[in-house]
Amino acid sequence: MPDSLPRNIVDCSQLQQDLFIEADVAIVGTGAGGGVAARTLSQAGLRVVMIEEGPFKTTGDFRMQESDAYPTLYHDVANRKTDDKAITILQGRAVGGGTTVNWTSCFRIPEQTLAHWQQHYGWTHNSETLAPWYRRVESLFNIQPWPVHNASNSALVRGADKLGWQNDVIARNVRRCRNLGYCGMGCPVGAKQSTLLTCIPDAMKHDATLLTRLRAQQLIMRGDGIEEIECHALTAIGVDPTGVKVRVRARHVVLAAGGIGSPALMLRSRLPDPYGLVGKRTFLHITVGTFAHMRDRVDPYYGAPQTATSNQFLWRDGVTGEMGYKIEAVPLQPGLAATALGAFGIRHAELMEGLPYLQPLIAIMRDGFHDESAGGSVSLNSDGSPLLSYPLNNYLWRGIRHAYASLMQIQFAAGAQRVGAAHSDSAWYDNWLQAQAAVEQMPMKPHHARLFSAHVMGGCVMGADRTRSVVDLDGNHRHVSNLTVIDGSIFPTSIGANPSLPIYTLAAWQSEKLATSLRQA
Amino acid sequence: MLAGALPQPEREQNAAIEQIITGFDFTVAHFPPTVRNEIRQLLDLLVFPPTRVLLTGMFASWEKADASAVRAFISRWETSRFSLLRSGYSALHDLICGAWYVSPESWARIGYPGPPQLESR
Repeated sequence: MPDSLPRNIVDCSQLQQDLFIEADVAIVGTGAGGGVAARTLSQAGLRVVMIEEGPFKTTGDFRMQESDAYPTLYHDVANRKTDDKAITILQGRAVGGGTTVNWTSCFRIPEQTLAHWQQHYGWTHNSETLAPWYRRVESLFNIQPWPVHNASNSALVRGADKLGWQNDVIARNVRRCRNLGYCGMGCPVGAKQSTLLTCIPDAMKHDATLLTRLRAQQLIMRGDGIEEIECHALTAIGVDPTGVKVRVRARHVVLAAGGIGSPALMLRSRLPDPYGLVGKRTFLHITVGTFAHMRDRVDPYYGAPQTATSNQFLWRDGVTGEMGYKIEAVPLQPGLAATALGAFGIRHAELMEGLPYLQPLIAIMRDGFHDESAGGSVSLNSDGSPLLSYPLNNYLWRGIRHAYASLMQIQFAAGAQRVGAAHSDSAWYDNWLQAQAAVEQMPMKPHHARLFSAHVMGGCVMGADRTRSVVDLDGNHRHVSNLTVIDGSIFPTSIGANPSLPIYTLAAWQSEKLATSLRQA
Repeated sequence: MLAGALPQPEREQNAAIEQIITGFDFTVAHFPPTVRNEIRQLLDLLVFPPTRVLLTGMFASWEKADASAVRAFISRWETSRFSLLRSGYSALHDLICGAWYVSPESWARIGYPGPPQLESR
């Protein structure tokens, strides 16, 4: 199905000369936050311009091939790194943002997280006030429990059940999903209800304009507000500027470029930041993994990627105690498997030969709830590009050690023949006692443990106290009159669950409120 | 890095290596300038004889190095007490292993049948 571009999509890599565009609202980013905001604001009758650094690719372009999906649809070829290269960040960069490439796992914000935000950051939301917004976005994205488990997720359920550990079915944002398992490369059958297929077409119907391959470089201030956004067109590869500039002038600006992009744009623009908070408290849900070798084929690359989860250890020592974690399965196509398995040479070749029998589990570390978990910080390279540093301390490593042991315990309970960790010092272990003893001895150091993140949160914290928050309780910037942040960067801690539904929900509420105030103005 | 993973016949192996190099370059071309520079610096260090000897322990040039010397270097970096060398290992590991295993030529050996066929397209 060839997709001819509608008139109101501009691929800026093709522009030959500078452009000037005016609108009511300019939205930077088209992911979970920006997509929902674009839909709401354009339906309210406002003229919306969306600015997206990534390309416009859609159903017919998605070929289930890692070789073209990662360079096209992700930041840094799905290999974005922290400054010390210790953490690999999988982050979408395309129209639809993370929602184009995520694994469709949807969770409401845990009660514990909301209570923590109320107590420590003055948030006023609770599950009751959010309920109507949840219902609205769950219907928009068709979010429903999906109890169709592939072999990988079945093993998680089987192991957790056998141990008597809590486990649940995951709700997913899909329609007529065919359980292919290639969500991470863009859904090739249009089943995933990403913002790419829902909100953005809705916004386009209401005359929104979408500018792709365009990087918002700087917010230009005049008085106490943003007058216009200076943007740089990028080449078709999408990393280097072509030299063509686009100026976007709007009454109001919505930042929705995510936990790295939104604070980086504020820093580049030198927005007022009297308490030095911008880009601080960046959370990653640092993720570690283990691999089981099963007797029967698992084919971990096929089937809906994540359909089961265990929260057995999510709050294992209370909300603010030792770091808890959420347990999930992951899809494992060969390119991702090859990088996640740290070994090299013959050992790596042998591990890869076992791929059809590998059953991977991950622990998603709930960061940000403890004094010793202040997260990372975003700063700028000399060329203005963002740089994320994330110090790794003993508090985190203790949690990771605990997580390795639990993941392997589930896998043995599920009938694994042998189990190993994604860690340079891990061997194959034949039973749980052996594995447990080995994990006790493993060095917990960067580059020994393979660390990943698929959820970047924080950096523009929302809160009631002006000395501890970048944006107020509606998401409005505290020192700029016409700037609202609508993305995962407003979270004061990590969520403790995959963050897409929390972002959709808060974006729906925030953008409705913004639409009302802009229409009255 | 990929010992044991590539096809044995010399012609096929050379073709695989060509493909990995192409994939490596393709990936690097999609990195932002700061990361591209870091990769270039890493490769320069590996090629420039004084830094090569110092950092990898390999006295012979790359053309003349035998497999065991290369293996010793990779292993030394993998478990080095210097975080910088371990990160160099990770970069080479991910770029080289990634480039090979995203290509269909690698799949038969590991039993990956490839993406499912979609009959309706």
